[in-house]
Amino acid sequence: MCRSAIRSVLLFAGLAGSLLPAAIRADDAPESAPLIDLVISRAEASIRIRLTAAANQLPWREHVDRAQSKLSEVLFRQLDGDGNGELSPDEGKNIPNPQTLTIGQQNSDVYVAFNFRVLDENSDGMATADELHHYLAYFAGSPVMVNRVKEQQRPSVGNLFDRLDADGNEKLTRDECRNQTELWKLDADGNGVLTGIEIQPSVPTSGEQEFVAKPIGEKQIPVSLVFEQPGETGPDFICELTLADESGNDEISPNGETGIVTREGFKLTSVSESKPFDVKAAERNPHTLLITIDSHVFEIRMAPSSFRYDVQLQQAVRRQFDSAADPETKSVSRPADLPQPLKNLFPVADRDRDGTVTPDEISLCLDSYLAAHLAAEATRLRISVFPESRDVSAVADRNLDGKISRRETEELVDHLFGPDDVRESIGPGELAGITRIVVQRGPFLTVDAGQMISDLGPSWFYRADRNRDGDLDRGEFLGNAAQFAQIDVDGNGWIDLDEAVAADGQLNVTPANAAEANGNPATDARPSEGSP
Amino acid sequence: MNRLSPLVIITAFAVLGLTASAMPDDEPVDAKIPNDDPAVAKIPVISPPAVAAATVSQQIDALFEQRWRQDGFHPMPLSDDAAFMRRLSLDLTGIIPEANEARDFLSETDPEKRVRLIDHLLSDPRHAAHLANVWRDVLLPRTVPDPVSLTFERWLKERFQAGVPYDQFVRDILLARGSLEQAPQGLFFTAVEAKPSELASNSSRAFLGMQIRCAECHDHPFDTWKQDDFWGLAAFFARVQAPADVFRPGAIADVMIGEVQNPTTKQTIAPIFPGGGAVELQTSEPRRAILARWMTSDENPWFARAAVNRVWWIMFGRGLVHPVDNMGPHNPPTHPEVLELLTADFIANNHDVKRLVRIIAGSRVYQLASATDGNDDAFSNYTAMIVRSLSSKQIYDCMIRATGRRDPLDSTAVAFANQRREFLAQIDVPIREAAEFQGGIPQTLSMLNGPLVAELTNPISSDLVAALADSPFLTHEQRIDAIFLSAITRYPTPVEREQISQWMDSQGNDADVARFLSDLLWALVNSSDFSLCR
Repeated sequence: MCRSAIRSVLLFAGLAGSLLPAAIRADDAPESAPLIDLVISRAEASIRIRLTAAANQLPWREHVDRAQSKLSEVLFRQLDGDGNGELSPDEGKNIPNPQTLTIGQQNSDVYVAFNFRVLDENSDGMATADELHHYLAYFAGSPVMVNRVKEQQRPSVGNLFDRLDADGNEKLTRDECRNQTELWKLDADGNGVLTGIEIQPSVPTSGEQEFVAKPIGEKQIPVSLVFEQPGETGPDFICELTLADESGNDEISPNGETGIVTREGFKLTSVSESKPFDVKAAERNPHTLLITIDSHVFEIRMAPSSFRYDVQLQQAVRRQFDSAADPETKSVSRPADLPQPLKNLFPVADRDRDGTVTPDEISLCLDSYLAAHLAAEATRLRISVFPESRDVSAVADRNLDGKISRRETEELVDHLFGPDDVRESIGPGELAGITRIVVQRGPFLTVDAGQMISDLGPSWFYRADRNRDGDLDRGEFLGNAAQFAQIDVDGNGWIDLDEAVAADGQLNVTPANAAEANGNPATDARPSEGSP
Repeated sequence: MNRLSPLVIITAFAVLGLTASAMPDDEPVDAKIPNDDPAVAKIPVISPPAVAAATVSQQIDALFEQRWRQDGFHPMPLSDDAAFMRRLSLDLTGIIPEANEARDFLSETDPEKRVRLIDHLLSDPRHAAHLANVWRDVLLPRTVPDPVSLTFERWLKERFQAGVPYDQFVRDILLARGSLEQAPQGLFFTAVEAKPSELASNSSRAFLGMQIRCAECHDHPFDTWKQDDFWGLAAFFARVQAPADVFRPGAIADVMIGEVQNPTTKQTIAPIFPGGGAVELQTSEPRRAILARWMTSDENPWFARAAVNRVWWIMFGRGLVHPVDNMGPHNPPTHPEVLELLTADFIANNHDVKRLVRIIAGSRVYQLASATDGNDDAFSNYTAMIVRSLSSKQIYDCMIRATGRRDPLDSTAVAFANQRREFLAQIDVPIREAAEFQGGIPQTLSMLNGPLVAELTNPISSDLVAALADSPFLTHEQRIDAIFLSAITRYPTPVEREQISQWMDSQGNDADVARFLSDLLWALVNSSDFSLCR
């Protein structure tokens, strides 16, 4: 089998083929090229929105290449145990599957043995640093992936319209939307989130369909969305993503802003004078863009996915290492018995190939390889397109989790009617269609895009979010009322992701600062990130 | 026939100071309730406007204080706020409060805060869900699997939440018709294959507090029930048709034929009310409808008492008549005057369960501190709150809450459900009395070393520990407070603080905070403060 064929087999058979749809791969695009085009069509007309990105003022492609180079350099050093500048088949056997640290795949000898034949491009029996770089760059795939979330992948919210329509007249008034006392009596487990099961009527009436979204109004004309590789056709709009390097790797970041969290944002610029139909664009917030075509809304939002994931993963691996270590030697052996992700890191960490990883070896591995690996993963972008919806549930379910939270119901009136809407009520046929597009950076903690929006932000935020509605209410928050009020900047009663990220950036600088913020001596504060 | 001893009702009149009057006779009673027996005391019916719940709470306390004085008992002082909150939350919602709920409640200085907490928990949807869970266990055999009983439990919950009067609620069960999709409460019938003997036994136990199953095979050894009495009650259900088991489709319906026989005499037995004579049957009316009307009538001496006794049992772990399902002259109430007072109020207020709970929870006797020496006399005299063990389901739910575990994702929901089932199988006991600790080696080992507890308290997998260790706004002491509040609804005592501090110091300067918090959480969920309701 020729090498390219082997690569193709590996690509489709093993390495997250579903995440890398071949149709949209952009490997051959020039570095400065835009990422991808969104083509929105209605009837016979269409508009083209070109997506471009930059991180810390570097074009995204360049950012990707730097991270990949760094990763291959660090990995090569880790694997080249004898320091001869080449990897033997035995050394190459320890190349980890690039996906294993985030989505739980396991190494196997079969996988690694097969890999080396691909790695050794000139078939001289040894692998050079360049060959490793090519190998990793190839298997990293396109930095942009598109994933269409299927309706059946998502839990059904149920028919919220009927639950809110108290008088049953097929019209939802503002008052009906606001009066949610009866609705929240359905929250049987009292967790502040309504699921489809809770919303559905308890005694179904035979012969009647349930959970059916209200029908599309006659005036609605379907709108479609496709992604295309940027070509010769010029865009009508350019959508620029401003991304921040959260890797903490100062060798990559040109401006030295290591570890500083900056939220990403969008900027939409019109570059074409004539448009086939009326397009309105508005920023809901710095990282959410609304594009309205007639009555259909395309919401494009940026979701941070890997906030301080490097630190959390390092802590987790260190704890696993400490638990598994021999009390006398403080070292770890018998990798087959280790939990993930330590198990997958073991071959890389064991530089001297003696079957044992010492504390120094694990520290080196974490500080160099793991950090570089995560920095490279952070250069991956995933664009998830959620199914078009035209019902109240879709309007309410803003975090796309298939459930309805208290915050979502309280904000429903504003989202359903809009700021300039003078209508007092709205019927099911008058609801606007919504297509939500979420742009997310790696590393991706789950391959399931339907659950991609959970576990975001600092772990004190998302791990305290017991009902997983994406916000912390007062009951979930682990601090006291004063601390809650301090972080809940807008005072709406919920700490959201932005507030959590902002607070974390302010409070989590140093142990001393954190202690001062609490009015306590430094010894009483949390430990530094590196030494839990 | 003299089956029941007179129950004290004079006190109820005296304390309430209200005048009895007849209920409007808007629903004629076809079958005569046997009221000529002087032993069967009628419950006085009190017309609204009812007395405020708080007033009745005070009247209960007055009755208890009178008895304590007479008997020379000295009650414990009121429980502290932390114990009260944990107890009330467990009794009303089946689960411990969240850490911040506890923090806020403990910091409040409003003298009315306990009353407000009672109202708050009564309006919590979990209160109805908890009652539904309790009544599910009362109404269905343990052999009915949870997935089968979910719609039934949901039906119960909706009734409690809507405040459906208890008598109506019972009638809805006894008169269920149609498929289980149309009438989920019909599971009461299908769960026992609609066997008349099972339905007689279950309905008398659940709704009248009578344990007459013994009389199915022979005359009752302690009570006055005869075998014919049992089968006379069973005869009311002889003409109910239902699917043979819960997995088969079909509908519950009344049919025109069906009789029961006394298995000893082989004679066909006509319907007989418990404690009464034969019933005048009308061909046009299903037998069970006659029974339901008689059973839930205000003039039925057992129905409202049994309901009150069961709610008392939920709140105290033992009934005023104890065991709760064994009412009768052979087993008199410890405090008949209290039972009668509450029963009268229950009837006068349209069988309002929520009001009944509010009255009991608002009483001083409910809010007393528990005894630490396990003195049985103190419990039966209510001079101290009875220390109760949590049910296996409560332990599971409380552990999930105490350890901050997040709701499952859709992808993990099945695994969570399996884990729950396995854990419950390990720690469940066949017959549970709340006031008796029945945990043995399997239960203890499951808590100490079981996979669920290990996962929920592990420094990596425990959501609470991970979140606390990562919180930049918390001091170490605040993290410890949060663990205590989450697990046992109180702050550590000064002694505990000192011990924890010494322990932490012994770990050295490079101690892993998450591991330390993990150890502390594990220790607390394995403490008696966690597994008991005091």
